[in-house]
Amino acid sequence: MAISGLGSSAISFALEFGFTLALTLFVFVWLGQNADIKYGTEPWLTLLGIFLGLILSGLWTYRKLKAVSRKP
Amino acid sequence: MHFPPLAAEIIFHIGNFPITNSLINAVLVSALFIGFGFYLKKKIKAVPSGAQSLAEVAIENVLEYMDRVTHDRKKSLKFLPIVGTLFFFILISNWIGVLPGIGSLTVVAEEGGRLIPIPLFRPANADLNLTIAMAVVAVIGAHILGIVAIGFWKYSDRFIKLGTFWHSVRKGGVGIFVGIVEFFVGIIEIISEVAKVVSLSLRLFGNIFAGEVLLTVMAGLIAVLVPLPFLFLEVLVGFIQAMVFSMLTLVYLTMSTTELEASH
Repeated sequence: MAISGLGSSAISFALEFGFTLALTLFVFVWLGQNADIKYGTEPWLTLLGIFLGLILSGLWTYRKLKAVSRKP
Repeated sequence: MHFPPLAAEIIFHIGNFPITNSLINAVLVSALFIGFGFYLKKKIKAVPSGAQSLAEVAIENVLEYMDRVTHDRKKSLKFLPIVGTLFFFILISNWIGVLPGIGSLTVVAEEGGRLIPIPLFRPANADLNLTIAMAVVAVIGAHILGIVAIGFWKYSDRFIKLGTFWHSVRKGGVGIFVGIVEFFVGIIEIISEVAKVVSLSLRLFGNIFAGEVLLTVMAGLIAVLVPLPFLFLEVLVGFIQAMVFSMLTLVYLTMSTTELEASH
């Protein structure tokens, strides 16, 4: 079947990377919100969380894509 | 018409332990496999016939398919107990969900203070508890086998990249920045492990649950002939989902037990 041709790690990446992006953003926003409530710095730490989550998940996607597309 | 709710319904209790309709199905499928296993063991012969040749063809096909992912018969044989069990268990419990009586045979039970009919059987994978349990076993199993195969420190360096961090920092300058970024990307790798469990379990649960709702609605609208194409669709979906779940488990197992060549 097509799975061996396409590279199975590429397929597994395609099937789950959306979840990873969503979860990453969720985790960082959750951390930011909690920190905001604790230190009374609303909304800056939440914004920082969003920012960090977006950048890091973007970087992660880029690295993964590079690794996956290099393999047969 | 009684639509299947998201959570499996409790049929009765054994002590404090609630027995849900999907648990009944899961136990039925397990009993089927255990019975089949004992039957085969008794009847095993050098020249296979009947049930034995069916089982041999099935195992042989699964192994051949696994070889295409692992590229190594030894690894395929090592992973067969996990991957094969998941595949056949999911496949048969999905297909049993299409049989008449599943979802339509009802018992009267109390829910919210009034008596309503609830289905006695519900496809085992239409219960998020089961699919999450299987996904957790698959992902944690991959980690354990990975640690056994390549050693704890090498394996943990994939997630908490202290080694890469140290190498980058020693270069100094931009290297320190690269090291910090590497370290944080390693943390995303941990989150992606959780995402594996979420995506595996939700995909299987969503497909089978949606199929059950679809069949209920179709059978409720027009009972004759109209549900037929949807039943065929469910047979197909049941097979595809079993394959996707076990194939992904195999990919996790293969990836975690192979040493990564140094990236960059």
